[in-house]
Amino acid sequence: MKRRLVVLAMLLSCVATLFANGSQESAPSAKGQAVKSQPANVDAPKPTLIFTTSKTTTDMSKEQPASLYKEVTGYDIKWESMDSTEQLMLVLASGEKKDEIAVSHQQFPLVLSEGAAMDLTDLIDQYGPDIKKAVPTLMPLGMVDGRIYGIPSPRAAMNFPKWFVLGRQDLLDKAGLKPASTPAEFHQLLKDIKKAYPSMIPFGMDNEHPNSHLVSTITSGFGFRGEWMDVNGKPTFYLKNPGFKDYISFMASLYKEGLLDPDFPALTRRDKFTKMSSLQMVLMDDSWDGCRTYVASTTDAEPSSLVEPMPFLKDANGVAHHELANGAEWFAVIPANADHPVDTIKAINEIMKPENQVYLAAGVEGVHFNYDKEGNIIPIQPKFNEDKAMAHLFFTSMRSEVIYNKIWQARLMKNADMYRIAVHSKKFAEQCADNAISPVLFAPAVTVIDNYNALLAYVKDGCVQVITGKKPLSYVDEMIAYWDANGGKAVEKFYADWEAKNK
Amino acid sequence: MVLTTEQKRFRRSQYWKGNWQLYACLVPGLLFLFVFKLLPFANISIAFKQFKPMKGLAGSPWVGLKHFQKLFSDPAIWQVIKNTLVINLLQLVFVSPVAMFFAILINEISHRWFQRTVQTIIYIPHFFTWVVIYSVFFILFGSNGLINQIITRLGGKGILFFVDSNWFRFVLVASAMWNKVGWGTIVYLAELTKIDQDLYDAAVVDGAGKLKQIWHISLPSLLPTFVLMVTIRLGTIMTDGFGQILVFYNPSVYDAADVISTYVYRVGLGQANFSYATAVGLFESVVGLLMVLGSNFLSKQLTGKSVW
Repeated sequence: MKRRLVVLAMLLSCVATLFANGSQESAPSAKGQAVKSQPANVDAPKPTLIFTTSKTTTDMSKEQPASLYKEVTGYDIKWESMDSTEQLMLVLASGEKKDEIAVSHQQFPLVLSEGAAMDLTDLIDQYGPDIKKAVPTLMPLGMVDGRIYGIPSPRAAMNFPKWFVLGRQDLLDKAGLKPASTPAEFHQLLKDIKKAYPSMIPFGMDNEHPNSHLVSTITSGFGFRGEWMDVNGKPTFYLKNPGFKDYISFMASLYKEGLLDPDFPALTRRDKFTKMSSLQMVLMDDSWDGCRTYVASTTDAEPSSLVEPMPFLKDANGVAHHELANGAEWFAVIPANADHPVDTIKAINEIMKPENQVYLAAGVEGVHFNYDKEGNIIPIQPKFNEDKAMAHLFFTSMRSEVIYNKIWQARLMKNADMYRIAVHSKKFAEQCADNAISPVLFAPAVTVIDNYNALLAYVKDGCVQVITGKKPLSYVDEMIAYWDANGGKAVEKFYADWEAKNK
Repeated sequence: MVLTTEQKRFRRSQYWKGNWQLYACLVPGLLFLFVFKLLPFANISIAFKQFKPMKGLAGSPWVGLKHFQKLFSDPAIWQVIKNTLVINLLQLVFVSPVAMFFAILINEISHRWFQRTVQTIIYIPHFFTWVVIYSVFFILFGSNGLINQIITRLGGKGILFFVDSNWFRFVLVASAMWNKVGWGTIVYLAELTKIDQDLYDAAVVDGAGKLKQIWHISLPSLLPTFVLMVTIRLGTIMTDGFGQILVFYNPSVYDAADVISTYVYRVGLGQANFSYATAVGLFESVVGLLMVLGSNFLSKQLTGKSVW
């Protein structure tokens, strides 16, 4: 009897396997299929929409802007955080219902290749006239074959450096050390810092963000900037840039000499901030937006501390290179299986109107801000910080190219240190003889291969292994061979063709 | 006495009448097994298809053994399999025996309140998530952590526990021991309390000291439980450790710490390559099954004890 039951259970499993039929969903693919709009039914109650934003631990429902969205859009919006690419993929694969997802520019090609993004072209034509007006030059970045699959959201800090070396200017002054202007001087500076402050880490990094291994202040000293740069008239991936091997060799020597934080492969950005604010670090690679987190706590620990950015290093030809932050940083994507695409587009349309962008992100004139003579937005403290300190979380993927940069510059003033460091870093960027955007900044998302993100992650991991001495310098050639063999060449051709067509 | 069919039927009905509650207790567990272990069998076909979530299982095309071919032709996979076996075997070798050792020590504590206190303190880390454990171990073993500060003050050279492949497995095993030994002691303690006290009294009368009592009475009594724990552990040897290693590892220690589940997570799920991830998962499960069967057989042959 027992044996019969076991055999029956096995048979049932086998039958289930053979006749396994997945879910009946057959959502529109990323290419070609438009979505039918919902039938007009003015009496139907408005649904609660679920919007996601970038990784955050803040409870957005408790922030003041959350209460304004119903007033502005007419919809109750529930905000959720999407912490990682893995979570995004699992949400999409499981069919979990979201109405809008904030997708980074690195994730956008992956979402497209999975066919997970809804075709928004007809919806925007019908219900989103202000969306088009809000992102007039960036809209092509969200398009594939002439159809819109994501609404681009411009970078908040247009033309401000995103990542650069900054650190304890007070310690440098105390030791009589001057900022470096070339890689050799930077190397010497770190050695002098180690001599002057033996218990401190001369230069810190983390391993969290996708390009944390490319320290822009230092890559400038080796003649390149960012992921892609024109070399001999063609967009060239940094791995193949003539200056890259020298850069990675330089970083490996810093690591070997103990001038770079030995723990950096294991560190998140927060871990790095902890080391800075606990006075363990002198210089580090970071951004102006991190200042809010660690400058205050560093000052608490050491009242005389002063964090300042360092100038970009000059290469052998005396040229400093800086990649201007521009283009689309995020995309608002409606999942292919979303239940309320029409309502979502209507809500986003309202959010993208210039007056609503100001109202939601900056507040009310006279209460939260005033306009100066040039029309710039000047915050009124402390009311601005009380109500709008975290308003940027709501705007990850829904910024207007037309107005948001102006709002953002006001938001920059919410923290004096952040404003000072951002403005000073911008001055250093403007001093760079090569201060330009990436040649592929306005190219559409990479859809010629499915594994672009995997390739980038592989290259990044390989770079970290070379820097830490795990792999020899010759591993760079292996990475280039891997890149070429696994779709890298197709991406290079894609960008080269696009650039040739759009010159 | 030979029973008639009627009599057998009657006895069976009486048996079920008297014991149905015990079998009812099995229902939640069986339901869990059915929902989370048997029902997903239906989706094993993902490993033989190029699964696209938006197309669904039926709409995704068959690719046969393509993912398995990719798996075994991937030069990285053999290092990953080796890491999986080495790390899990190290944890097996250290965690269970240490748990048994602690259980024996705790059992010898005569003051009940002290025994309970020690047991609680040892068991608390079991409730910590790996993120918390990582933070604790980073404070202890980071380049500027407590251990390295002691080493450097004693004149030695600091050890990069989290970046040096030669030391990283030590951190994994040490943190696993801190997390799991407490749970193991409870299981072994439960076995020890079942041992008849008369055996120990008789041993004392025969002149056996504490160590001899442990060697001849406690350890043999714990052997069946040890075999059971090891056999269960072997069944998950290819899949265990994902949460811990994902939190702890970084690119500079991939060569020592990248296991099958983290490799699949990075290459599979992170890149939406669900079919490849499923193929690797299927491979892990088959190997796990073979290891459980093998372990049970070996245990039966060598010690006479087995799970079934």
